[in-house]
Amino acid sequence: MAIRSLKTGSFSRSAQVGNQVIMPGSYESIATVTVGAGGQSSIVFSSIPSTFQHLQIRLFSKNTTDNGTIGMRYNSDSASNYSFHDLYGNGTAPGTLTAANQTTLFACLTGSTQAAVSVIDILDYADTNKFKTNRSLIGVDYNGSGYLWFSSGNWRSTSAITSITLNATFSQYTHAALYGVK
Amino acid sequence: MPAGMTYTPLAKTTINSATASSVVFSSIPSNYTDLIIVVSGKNTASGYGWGLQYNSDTAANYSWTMLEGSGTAVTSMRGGSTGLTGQSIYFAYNQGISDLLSYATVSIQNYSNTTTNKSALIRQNNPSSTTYPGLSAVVGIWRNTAAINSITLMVPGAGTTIASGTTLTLYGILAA
Repeated sequence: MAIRSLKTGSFSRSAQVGNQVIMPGSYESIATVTVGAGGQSSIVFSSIPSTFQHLQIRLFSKNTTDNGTIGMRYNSDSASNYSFHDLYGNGTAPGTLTAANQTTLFACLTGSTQAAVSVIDILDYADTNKFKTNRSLIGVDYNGSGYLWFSSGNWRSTSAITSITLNATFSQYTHAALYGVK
Repeated sequence: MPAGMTYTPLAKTTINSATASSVVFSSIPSNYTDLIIVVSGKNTASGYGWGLQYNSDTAANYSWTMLEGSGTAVTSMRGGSTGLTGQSIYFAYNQGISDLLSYATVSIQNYSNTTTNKSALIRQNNPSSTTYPGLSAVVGIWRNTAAINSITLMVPGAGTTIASGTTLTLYGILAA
């Protein structure tokens, strides 16, 4: 049973008010995809409820190639409505790139010999007054090569995001989890 | 899934005296999907980073790639299977000044699976205005398919320990 602090108005999951406060339901798992034997060419999160403020995707990706890219689209929009800015390091030098009017966002690198991982935050995804912004931290390391990558992307649409499609050749053991943040 | 069970604090350590050079989270349950560690604090000496080890493995089974900005330069570096930097996942969590603490968030995904090597993403910032200011991120690999059941965070440099007041909190994230 949640206990509400009379002093702060905040809720605690435990009877000891003042402990780590985690509002029940403030970070919820919406859906999870685990790729089985045989792989698959895309991962789709559909029928995303509009009841959260932000979304987070936590991706652990195994693929058939190293250092490819995993694309991300919203609501099946394949038009040139995406753009992104990236900052990355390859272990010896930093780099940066930008791309406008793209048909997809950059969600993660691909990893074959090692899994690539990313955490993608999609802010105000259900707000119909804003274009949609994502912030991603991405990495893969192969013990002698690899990348650490920041990406910030934009979808020029005020539509609420109801589906997210990740496109790549995903191998077995890929794990993608979608969370809602209130 | 019951509301409020997705992001769960599992353990918290607060350093009360500057004599420890490592903190161990042990007996980590295997029923979560990802782990998050939030570190707030500093070392007792400047110039030393932190290391991350799993399951007490001190062999050269780790490698990492880093991107770091100091405010005047951006650099990228790597550590591999030779030397101290191959014996842990290194992240540059340097000395804070007075009450300027450094912060790091460690994300370990799919930590309990027994089929793949283990990956971690680390974001760190050090607001110190002296020698080692920085904003950095690291991706690290542990070349072992074992489930992670313990995590050691350490300051491996001689002459430095974890400063009193440093807190380290372990969370479990549960996917549907």
